[in-house]
Amino acid sequence: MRILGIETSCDETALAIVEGKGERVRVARELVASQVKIHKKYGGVVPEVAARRHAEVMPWMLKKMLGRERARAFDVIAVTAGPGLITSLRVGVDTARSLAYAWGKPLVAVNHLAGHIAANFIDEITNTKYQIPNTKFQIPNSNRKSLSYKPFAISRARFPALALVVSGGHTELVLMRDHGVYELLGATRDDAAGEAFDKVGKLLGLGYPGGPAVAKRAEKGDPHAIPFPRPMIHSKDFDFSFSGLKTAVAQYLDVQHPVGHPDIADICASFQEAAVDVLVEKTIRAARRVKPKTILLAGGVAANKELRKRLGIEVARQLPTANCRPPPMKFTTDNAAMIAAAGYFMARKKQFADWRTLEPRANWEIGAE
Amino acid sequence: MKRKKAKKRGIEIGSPREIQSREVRIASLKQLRIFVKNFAKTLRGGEVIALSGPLGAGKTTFAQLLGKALGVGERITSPTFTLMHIHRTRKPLPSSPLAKGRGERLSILVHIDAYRLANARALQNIGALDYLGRPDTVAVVEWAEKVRRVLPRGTRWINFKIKSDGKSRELRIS
Ligand SMILES: Nc1ncnc2c1ncn2[C@@H]1O[C@H](COP(=O)(O)OP(=O)(O)OP(=O)(O)O)[C@@H](O)[C@H]1O
Ligand SMILES: Nc1ncnc2c1ncn2[C@@H]1O[C@H](COP(=O)(O)OP(=O)(O)O)[C@@H](O)[C@H]1O
Ligand SMILES: [Mg+2]
Ligand SMILES: [Mg+2]
Repeated sequence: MRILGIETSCDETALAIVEGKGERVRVARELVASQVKIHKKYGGVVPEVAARRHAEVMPWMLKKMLGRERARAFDVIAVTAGPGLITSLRVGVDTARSLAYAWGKPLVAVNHLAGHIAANFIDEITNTKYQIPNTKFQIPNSNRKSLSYKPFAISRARFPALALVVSGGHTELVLMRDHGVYELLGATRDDAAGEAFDKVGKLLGLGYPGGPAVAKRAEKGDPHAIPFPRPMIHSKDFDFSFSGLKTAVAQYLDVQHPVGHPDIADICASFQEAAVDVLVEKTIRAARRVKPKTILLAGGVAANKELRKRLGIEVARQLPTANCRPPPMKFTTDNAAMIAAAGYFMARKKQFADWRTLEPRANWEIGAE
Repeated sequence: MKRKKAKKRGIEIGSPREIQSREVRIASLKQLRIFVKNFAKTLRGGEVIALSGPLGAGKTTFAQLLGKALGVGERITSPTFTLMHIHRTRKPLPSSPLAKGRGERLSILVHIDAYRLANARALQNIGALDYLGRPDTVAVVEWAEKVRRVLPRGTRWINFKIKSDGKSRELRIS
């Protein structure tokens, strides 16, 4: 089954076609048009501009993606229906509805976070049969050179699975009893983990997005230099809190370094250590309760090397019966392959949406109807 | 520099708003809770509350406490990424002091965050302006100084300052 994935929840316009067979999903083609530069120019998000840009590039990207095959290039349409910026979501959803109507294709509405989780179910290697020539759109690297096909070392999809979803807008622990079956176990009570990384980056003047910059500086710092708090690390629930940690960094800067040069590397390393400690500890604790066979990591912060490493080590040490494999780096940021992958498993269960009534939902909580 | 200018425009020396403005020292989260509870009693619907102050000053915390005081049941989190959250408030029990004078109308708390927004016009794009001043809605805006231009006259400003002990805050209300 071939799935066309459409993702416009924020500021990347992304399309992909994935091929699903049994438990495996492979990426056939993908395209991303990033708006990072545009928003940099404005110095922030302008939802109107983002939506307009999505709408402008969409027909051209579809043309590139579908080629001469057009409707024959895919069987099912999967679109991100939320959560996200409503104006941006609207473009993807309405495109999908139009195509579903015009070409009589079944439609699935994918939750963006379910998509992030599904990035774990994609085989890492792109089938290069469908090479797309370089265009004015930015094409993900893997499409440029041909790569040999490498099957999974483990099955990523043994259930129940516990997923730690950490992104700019979300920090959640999600229990998956099967593909498409999600239960929210806990979430942040204030700031998301990626947001905390970004804001600490901002406090230190490291630019946007702060996450990768903070992680980079942390490599050269001492993670035990400053004892930042680990909010809620001992609480019995599976919720998180990152505002206190952010504030502790702000406070440290104010008090210790009202002027002069703060030890940026040490601050970054110590902050990252505190954030990773909480994320890993809470995940292990939730795993002890729900006894998953697989532990998954998803979302933009899943690109954090320290988090990938520490989660892997702690799962191996404390939960020897569970598998833990971080997702392919390239699928941690927003992309359409992950949406198509999640869509594949939904289509297999015939969880279709109606083009007449599908609406984007800005605050769609994972697992909610 | 920009901010200084904006401040001058915001309050005119000697104006009724300047006279009303005051400073409150909040020593702890517990005190903040009490302050917000009392503040919430003055809300009737239609108010816009603009919050300013540095990262970690307690703007989101203020919004969370205000939500609690107004009877929002669901969790209130930072809208930095999502830009705007809309929460339903529960009607106060007739016996509660909140019920007095509040009437039937206040039923929505809109929580807006301008941190990532490029400019004031962007608030319009996300449909936030539709809620400002609506009689059934109280709006809280974090990083409000970035969108000062589109906030209605009569907006209540609260500026947060972190004191050096880390726990206490100074709130300037105008
Ligand atoms: N190496 C890293 N270490 C820490 N944080 C990182 C790293 N790389 C990216 N991030 C953070 O990940 C976040 C971006 O994640 P992502 O792109 O998944 O968010 P999003 O898609 O905008 O949000 P959502 O999926 O919740 O709508 C940013 O906050 C960024 O700073
Ligand atoms: N007196 C206080 N007032 C407000 N916040 C306080 C106070 N004392 C401690 N805090 C803590 O400071 C942090 C404020 O963070 P947050 O509300 O996210 O700030 P902002 O939204 O302004 O960036 C919270 O962790 C809160 O618990
Ligand atoms: Mg995302
Ligand atoms: Mg905040």
